[in-house]
Amino acid sequence: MEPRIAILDGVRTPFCKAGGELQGAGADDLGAIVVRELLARTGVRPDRIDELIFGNVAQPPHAANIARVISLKAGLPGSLVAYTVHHNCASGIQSITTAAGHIRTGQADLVIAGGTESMSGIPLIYGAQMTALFVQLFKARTMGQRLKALASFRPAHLKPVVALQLGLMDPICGLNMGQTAEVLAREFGITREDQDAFALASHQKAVAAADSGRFAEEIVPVATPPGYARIQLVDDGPRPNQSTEALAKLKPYFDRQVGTVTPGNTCPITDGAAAVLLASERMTKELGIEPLGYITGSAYAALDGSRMGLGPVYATAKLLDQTGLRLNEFDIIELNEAFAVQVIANERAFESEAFAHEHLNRDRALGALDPSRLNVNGGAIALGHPVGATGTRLVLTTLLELHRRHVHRGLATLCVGGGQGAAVALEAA
Amino acid sequence: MNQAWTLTIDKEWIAWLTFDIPGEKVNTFSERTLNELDALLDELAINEAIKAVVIRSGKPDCFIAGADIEELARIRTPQEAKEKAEAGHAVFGKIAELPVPTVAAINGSCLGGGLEMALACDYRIVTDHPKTALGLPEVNLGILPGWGGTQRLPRLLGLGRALPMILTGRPMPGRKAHRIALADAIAAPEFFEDEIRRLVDRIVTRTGRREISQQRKRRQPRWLRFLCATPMGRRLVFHQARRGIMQKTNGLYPAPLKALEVVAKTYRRRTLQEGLSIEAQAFSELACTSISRNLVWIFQASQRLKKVGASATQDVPSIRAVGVVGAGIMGGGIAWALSQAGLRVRMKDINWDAIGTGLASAARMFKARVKRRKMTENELNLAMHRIAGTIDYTGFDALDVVIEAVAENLEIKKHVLGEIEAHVRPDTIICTNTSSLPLNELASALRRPKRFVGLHFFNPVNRMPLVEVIGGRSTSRETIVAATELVRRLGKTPVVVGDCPGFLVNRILLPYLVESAWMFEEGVDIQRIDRLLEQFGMPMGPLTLVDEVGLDVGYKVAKVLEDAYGQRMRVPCALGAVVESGGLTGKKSGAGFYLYNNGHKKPNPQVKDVTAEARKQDHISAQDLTDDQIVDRAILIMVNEAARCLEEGVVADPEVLDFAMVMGTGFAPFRGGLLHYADQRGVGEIKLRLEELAISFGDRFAPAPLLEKIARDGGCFYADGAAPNGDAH
Repeated sequence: MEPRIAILDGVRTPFCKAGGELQGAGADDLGAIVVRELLARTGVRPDRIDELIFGNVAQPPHAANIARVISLKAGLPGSLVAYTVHHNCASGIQSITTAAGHIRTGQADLVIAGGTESMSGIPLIYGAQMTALFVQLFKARTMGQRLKALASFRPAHLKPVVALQLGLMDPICGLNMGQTAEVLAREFGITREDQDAFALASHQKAVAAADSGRFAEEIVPVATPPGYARIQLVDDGPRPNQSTEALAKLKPYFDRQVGTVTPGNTCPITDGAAAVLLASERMTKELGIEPLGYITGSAYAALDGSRMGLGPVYATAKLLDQTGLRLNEFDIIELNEAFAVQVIANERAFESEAFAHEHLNRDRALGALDPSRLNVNGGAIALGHPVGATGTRLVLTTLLELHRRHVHRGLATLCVGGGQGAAVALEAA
Repeated sequence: MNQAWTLTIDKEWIAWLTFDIPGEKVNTFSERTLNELDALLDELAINEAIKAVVIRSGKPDCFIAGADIEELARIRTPQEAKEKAEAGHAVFGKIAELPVPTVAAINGSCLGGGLEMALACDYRIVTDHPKTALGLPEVNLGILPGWGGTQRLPRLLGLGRALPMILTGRPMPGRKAHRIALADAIAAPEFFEDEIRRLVDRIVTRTGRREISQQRKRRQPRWLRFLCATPMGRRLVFHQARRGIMQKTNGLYPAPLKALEVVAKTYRRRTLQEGLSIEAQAFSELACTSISRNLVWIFQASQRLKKVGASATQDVPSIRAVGVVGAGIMGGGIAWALSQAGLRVRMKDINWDAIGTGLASAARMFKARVKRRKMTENELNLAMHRIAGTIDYTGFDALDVVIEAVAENLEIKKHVLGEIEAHVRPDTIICTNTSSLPLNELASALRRPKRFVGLHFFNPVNRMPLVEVIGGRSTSRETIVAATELVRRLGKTPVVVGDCPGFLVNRILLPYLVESAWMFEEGVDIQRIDRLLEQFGMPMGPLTLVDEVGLDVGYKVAKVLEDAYGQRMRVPCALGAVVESGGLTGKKSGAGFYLYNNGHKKPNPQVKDVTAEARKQDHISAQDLTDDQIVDRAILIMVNEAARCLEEGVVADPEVLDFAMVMGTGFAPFRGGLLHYADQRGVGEIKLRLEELAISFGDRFAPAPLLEKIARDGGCFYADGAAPNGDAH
């Protein structure tokens, strides 16, 4: 049998709404904190690590190759190779599967993989005209050239471009992520009420998980700069008092006239980071650490960008083919909640024979997603979706829940902006 | 004997004078090295072939560190001092009078006499080596730049820039020296020789020389030049400088005032020769004062103490990560110091709010450094990443040292120490930061007391340069060495002291504070007490100090010492009344002996009310004290306790004791510490005075046995007599 890749342990920061509690910390800072605490928890000496791979989407200008910055801020030795992967929303899972691949081929034995995102930190940028003006100004050699450049200035040039909005826009199909969610609502006929009900359940499950201390197992508190006196201990997304009425009051955001997707049934823009430690079986034995679990397979799939939310169906179909597993063999399933409508669309597609036929080239449906196994501790609707970090969180949360339930197999899957999907098969140790 | 100076003349007829004292790490001017240079200069003066002279150092990171301090310390009479100054003037005068252009090529420290020699050269080139520093630190040794510094520097830079260098003694890095035209060129050390040659090529031509002189003018701000161009403007500058000195030194340190006087008397008024002779006269007046001797001693003692134990470094395990348990003010400060030194820290407390407090206090100390441009925002971020928090000892198995800094309570500390030991490796060193608890008692909570040691940090940690290292009965030698080494890495000075209540510094300081409280109880005005002791040279008055420390904290420690030492450390009832019934805690709450409001302090009228009742309880009466009585009661009670510490072997020798008191409490540095003060005043006289005080104010003044013995023998605490740096050195 092929040697398994162990996940020894993992931690994450609290997930906090952008522009809120964690806004003083950069994506590199959040990443460094999870890596530092991961090492502290596992007790692994920093010089034993072979590689550090981090996923990050909105790569901050002050930290090129953010993985390297994270590695050094976390106190890892300068001799450690660290690099950043960008697979949009799958970045935090790409780092894990890349690490697993390196371990499988014997290039590494012990790898830190994770993901981080500070959506607070995404800058506003100057538009093309203002940028051109600055370029002229920097190039100017004479006073005349300088004055000429300055004279071309118009107040309208100062209107900022919101990089965050650009990032959430698919430049090929021309839709932003919310608009792709609206596409799915229409295709599957998913009502506003269905979506709000799903969102409410996500909050309720997340609040229950937080109250019972389940999230505390995976969270490392963060002292928030610039004062460092305030320590953020918990996620600030889940609302204990969320209600159907409150959700119903919100207006559709992406299509104000006939849309169904509202800020209430969409994941919030969020800051956070997560990291796991992967090891070969040999290294696991050598360190004498009881692992959390194993990663036994992974698959990525691509599809039409305007229906990107269906990524999990495509990727999971591929994963099942590769591993020979059936959907009902997974005891826990984490399917990222980018939009309530997108998860419901996936549920329908998973159990639809017609969909399997038409899109997956299969005779039979993949199978129904059992609600008692799906996103049992809530998901991104409540917790938020720091894009680069979510993939790592899903893997971590799945493994911890497998342990709590004393069950064996888990699936973590998510949709990827631009039209892709990722799926990872996990096993409890 | 090997020569310190070598002269080589290259094929381009440039004479290179290289200073490199064999077997020494730094170059200094002693009588011998000065004479050697003198002889070579005579040789050069008659060599008509050479085009230029370059003076440089053969050391990798030192140009000339100044005059030989041992020789300086040996000066006995003003006449000797004057001759010494004149000898330097003569040699440097020869440099200035060489018919060819001269260059000082400065890489590394260039201080005192080193800079004065460089000023006698026509041109200076510096490097941006991190060790390159140019300055005239003489005033810090109680003297003034006596080899032409007060004359040549103002002539080169103008008053505005020369005065601060002369009066504060603060050195400046190479880049700054170049910016203000103290240096005419700057180079990377790697390309130093090329750049020296390039400068020489310029100065042998007339246009090159003219360019450089214009460059010097350009680098002086116009307004400064203008200000110093008129007698009125100069008067203003001198007046401001004098005020600055008075504010900083209270007029207790004569050197900067004298230096200012010399510059004021001579700048633009006298020729160089006249100026130099006025300078030599002033130098001779300062050099033999006890103040200068005491300051020189402090400098030498700090150099000596830096080296103690340093030879044993090879068997010290490398320390990378340190734990701090207890995230209070001390814990936060210690975490700051560790991170500042580049170490990684894990701070443990019982809840996250406490961790936040500790992190915030470390962050504040870093922010103060950012504000003073000692570090960048980015460095602050990295430094804060080095401090992690935990509430459950996570990661403690990876730590090399753990410093416990929880509340000063024996039972709590013992409990926490046991917990720590259960979470660390067997080879981890465990330290306790305590100011008064007995180490042996604390050690009883541990299974491995060999690796347990006390570290007494002073508050605030970022400002106090001293740390007491306390070995218990079972503490191993290696543990003490590792602890002192760690303290050094934090940039602080360790003093190893014995385990007794209060250790060394607090044991001696507390009687001073308590005695002041007695005088307060006797009805003496608190402002008068504070003012008299400030005039004595203490950094702040005792009752102000109590307010700063915190009345509650100070009272607690005083009580601990009373329990330990009994009658002679009895705490007056008035202090208890102020703290316990009055509820006053000092500056932190805005009210103590003084009231604090927006940075202003005025006496707290309320505290006087308790004295009458307290006197009744203590069976004493109100007293009318003379100024001398007030000072002697506060100071001699310390001298007496210092004698006991010495006798009991709490500290190795008088020098360490004096140094610890100066560094730990700010005890008047110009007095050279308690025991130097006693020696200089005469131990016999002090004994008599103590006996008088004992009759009038109580047995606590009864002379300590060691003090009595020394007085009887007519001796001194220091083996070499009343004057530090006596000939015995």
